[in-house]
Amino acid sequence: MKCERCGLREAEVHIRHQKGKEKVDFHLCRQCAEQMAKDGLLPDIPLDMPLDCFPWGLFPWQGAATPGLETDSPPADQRACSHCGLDHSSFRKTGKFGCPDCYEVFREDLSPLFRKIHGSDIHRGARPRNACGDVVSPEGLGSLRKELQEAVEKEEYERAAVIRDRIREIEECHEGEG
Amino acid sequence: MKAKAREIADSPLEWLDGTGEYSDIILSSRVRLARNLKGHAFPWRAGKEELESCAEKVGSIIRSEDFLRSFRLFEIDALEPLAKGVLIEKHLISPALAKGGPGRGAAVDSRGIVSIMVNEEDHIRIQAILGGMRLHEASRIARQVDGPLEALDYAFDSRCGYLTSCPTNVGTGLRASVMIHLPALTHLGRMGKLAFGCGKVGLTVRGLFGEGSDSPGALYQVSNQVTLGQTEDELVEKVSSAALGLVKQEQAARGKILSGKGIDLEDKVWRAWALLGFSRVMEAREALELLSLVRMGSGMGILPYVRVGTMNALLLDTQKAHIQARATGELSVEDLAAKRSAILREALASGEKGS
Repeated sequence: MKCERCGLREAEVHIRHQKGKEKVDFHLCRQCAEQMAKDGLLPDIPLDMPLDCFPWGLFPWQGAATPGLETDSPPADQRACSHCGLDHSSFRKTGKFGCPDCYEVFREDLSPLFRKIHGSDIHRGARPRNACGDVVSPEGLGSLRKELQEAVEKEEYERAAVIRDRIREIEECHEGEG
Repeated sequence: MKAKAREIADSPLEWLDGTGEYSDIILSSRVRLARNLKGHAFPWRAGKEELESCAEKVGSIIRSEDFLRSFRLFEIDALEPLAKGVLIEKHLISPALAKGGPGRGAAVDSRGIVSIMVNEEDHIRIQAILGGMRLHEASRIARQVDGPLEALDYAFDSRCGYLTSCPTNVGTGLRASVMIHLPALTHLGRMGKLAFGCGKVGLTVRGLFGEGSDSPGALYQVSNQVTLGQTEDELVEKVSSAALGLVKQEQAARGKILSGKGIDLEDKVWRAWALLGFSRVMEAREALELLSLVRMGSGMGILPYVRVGTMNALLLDTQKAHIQARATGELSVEDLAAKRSAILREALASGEKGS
């Protein structure tokens, strides 16, 4: 996603400002986010959100001590959850997700993490009765099929069987809906 | 104020009755489910309003659902410390939840089987505890409670399962555990190896009181380590079969000790019996260790028969908050130890008569 202010650089800072039912989302690159913060154009961050969950000296009062902007060192992983504000380094530090949306934001990390903890990365257990809806967009189904193929190529048959069952379930689910 | 703590201490807890298979060795079977609400930050990251709104949503289901309406609701911050202590000793709430804060609450059923913790590590923690080896039944009950709460729109992902604050709970969100008494295996120094073996198959063994090899009272908790990639029934079955294996090994170990230096074992359990029956001051740790010996001695037929229910109840009744809650006035440390000793004497004396 491109920065919605300059339209040139990748958006790395995602902020959601919510008041009652009003939601405002910002998807900005670092430079624009910093500029907007300096200009006082970003809504206040909530009081209960720890300031240090914002990396890279985004806000002026965090001072120059924070690494990133001035140095030439490669930038840290800049993903952050737009719902709860949890950034990648905090996620790694605490080992905890901040909200359900974090699973989407850090999805790339999940597979290795879950396989390390659980020896698996696919849920095979119960599901809520109403869970069918979010099951999967066509792309999701496509990526599962790709994974199935990879698993078969790597001769990970147990895993392949799980993925195959999941695909079947999803297909049945969609047929049921249609 | 104390009346409430006392009333909670006196309210029933199903597993204490000692029903269920192997209840002399497996004290209880517990299954807990971790659940979260879609669109809300997890408790550690949520502000006051969000925590309160989650608690209100959960509360409204509990108050309106036929099956849950009779549950008793507790607002943690409204409880006196002693009442919280009693709930912790009964394992109906966790020490973490007892710290309190906005939206922290619990709901407990009238028979003392199910408790629902609200805004602990996850928005919802459902647990069901039964006596003896009854993990599958506990799992069914927990899922029965889960049913109506599902209306709250759980955070669920078809790939990752139930989403939880900590990645170690994701997937089924299910933790099945048994509380198991293994004095002979402990005496023979086998627990370290057994725990290691359990670890290899994805199970955790840890001392219930204290950590590592030093587990006073030889009480352990065996639970599943992983929560993702297996079905609920598979996880429950895994813990069940491991627990049954441990029961068999414990029985064999008891036989082995008896056939070896049997007289030493007899002497040891009879001494424990005498100390519990006649001493006048008793520290908590000592009580736990002596009760463990008497439980084994009674189970092996060396000592007079004591009901499993009596021994289970004594585990709780001799703990600090339970004693304080039932005493008139504030007990000093010395009073507490004297009272504990009196509770044990009376219970064993009447237990013996009853046999």
